[in-house]
Amino acid sequence: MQELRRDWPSQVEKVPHLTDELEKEFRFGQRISKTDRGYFMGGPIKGGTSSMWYPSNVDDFRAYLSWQKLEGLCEGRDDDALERLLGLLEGNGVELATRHAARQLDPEPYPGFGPIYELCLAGLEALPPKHLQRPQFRKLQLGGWGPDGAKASAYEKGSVLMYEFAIRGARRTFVGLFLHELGHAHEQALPPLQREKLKHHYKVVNEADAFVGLEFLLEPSTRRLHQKFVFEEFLAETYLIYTACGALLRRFIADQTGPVRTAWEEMYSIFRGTFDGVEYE
Amino acid sequence: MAHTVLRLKGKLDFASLEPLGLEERQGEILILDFGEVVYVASSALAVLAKLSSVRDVRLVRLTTRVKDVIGLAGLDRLLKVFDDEKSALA
Repeated sequence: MQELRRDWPSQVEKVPHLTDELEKEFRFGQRISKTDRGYFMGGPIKGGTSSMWYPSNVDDFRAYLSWQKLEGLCEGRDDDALERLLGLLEGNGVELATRHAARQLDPEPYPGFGPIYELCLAGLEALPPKHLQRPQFRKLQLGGWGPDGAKASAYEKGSVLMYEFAIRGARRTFVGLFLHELGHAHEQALPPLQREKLKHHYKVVNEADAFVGLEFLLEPSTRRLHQKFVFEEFLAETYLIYTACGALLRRFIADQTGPVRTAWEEMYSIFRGTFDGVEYE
Repeated sequence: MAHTVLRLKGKLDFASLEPLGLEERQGEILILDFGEVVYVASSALAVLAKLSSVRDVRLVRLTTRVKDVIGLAGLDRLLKVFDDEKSALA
């Protein structure tokens, strides 16, 4: 979670052949693959039923491998993290499912997702226990694809689904998406009265375009746009920002003026209440 | 309805979209024809998201894979996507 609190410094100077454009692609989730027909940039979508590839070269490929070591999620075992994550989830009645080959669910959680288990654990342990105990969060799935279309991640009927795209890209993007999807579980669990109050204040900040944008997947400006057009996306993103960047959110609110600041203070107060008063750095 | 149609082709990224001056193009509606686009870089997705917040832009003739990438970026709820020019103006 701490990764999201800091700026995302470019690795262009550190990694040979890495360009700004390539870095954006890798951080978004694209990769370079070596095939019999040469090098290609892109990635399979929906488990391979769709794909978008563009000719690349060996320098880009090397840059990708070097970048992946610095910022990417690589497979590896971390049995301690898996055991602790399973203990935490099972203790709260949450199922853990994995699809490491993307085609079907693994009979047991795939041991090679060690670094991902560690990230999930860090995020979940920081949350109030009641956020893990509600009917809106009953299952966590890592890997695979959604039935209805290409998504990086999704929330659906009590399940947080971190698809293939999310678990093969940047660590920071995974954390952002994971907390965002947990945020959908949270917004679904909000009592109607709180939801209405939040919607009322949301309209005020929306008119002023006063949103916080974190950098993951795409640029911060795109994360702000998400919030502007869909109320539920705003709630889910605010959950992510509240937990991962609490101090940044408080500074942002303190910098606002007039009705926008009042609206944000009211919303922050409601969120704090839903976290039993817990605040984050 | 006054509109401009721009036919895009090849690989789209920030460097290829920036010189097109999409924000300033004439017409109430800007139609971007993706019929010959083979790759959409993440930097292009960011440009399209920003563009959609400042003017009425409608994307037409997207391949399934381009639509899928828009979905991956979570922009499917922001961008207006149509099958073709006719349905975009209907």
